[in-house]
Amino acid sequence: MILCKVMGNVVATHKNKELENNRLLLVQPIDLNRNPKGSSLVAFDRVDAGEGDIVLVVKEGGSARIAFNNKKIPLQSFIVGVVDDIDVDETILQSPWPVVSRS
Amino acid sequence: MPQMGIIIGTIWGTQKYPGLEDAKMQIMQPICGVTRQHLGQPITVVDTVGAGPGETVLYITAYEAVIPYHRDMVPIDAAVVGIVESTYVKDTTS
Repeated sequence: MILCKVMGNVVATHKNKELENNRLLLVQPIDLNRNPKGSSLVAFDRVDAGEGDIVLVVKEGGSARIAFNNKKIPLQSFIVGVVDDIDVDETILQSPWPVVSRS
Repeated sequence: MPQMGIIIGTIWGTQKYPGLEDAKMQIMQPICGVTRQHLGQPITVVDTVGAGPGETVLYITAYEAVIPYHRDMVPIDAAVVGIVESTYVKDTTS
């Protein structure tokens, strides 16, 4: 799964019949500081994500077939969650290893 | 994923892998849906929805690209799955 920001939507009525009646959103992958990273994706919306939301996007066809319970759906990316908050402690990466021992 | 691209041409060929004889192959330039910037080189895609040159399309790659085609065991790694009428992108400068 990757973090993306919803940038807008796509209207495409003439398409593969398995892809019908689903909202197509334009999402832009972002890094942990919410800066754009890489090119945008077109993703199905399953969670009523709104514009500007930070969302979780799955990018794998097998998961799409499971999520949509449809072996014939030609799809790879779809939204599985709207992110309310991201809490990251970047200093962990700078500390020498091992940081936390779980013994 | 599906991703977006613009159909810029068509490929004609009669000598093809068995099963692909009636596959309509088109040349497509992948683009970024938000900025419409060209992404990499044009690729060849199998069209199953009747897209024509100049049209913006949705395409899919990898294993999923064989799904829209009417035969199973054929070597297709990119296929058009939709024709885009319009895209709305929030004004990113605000």
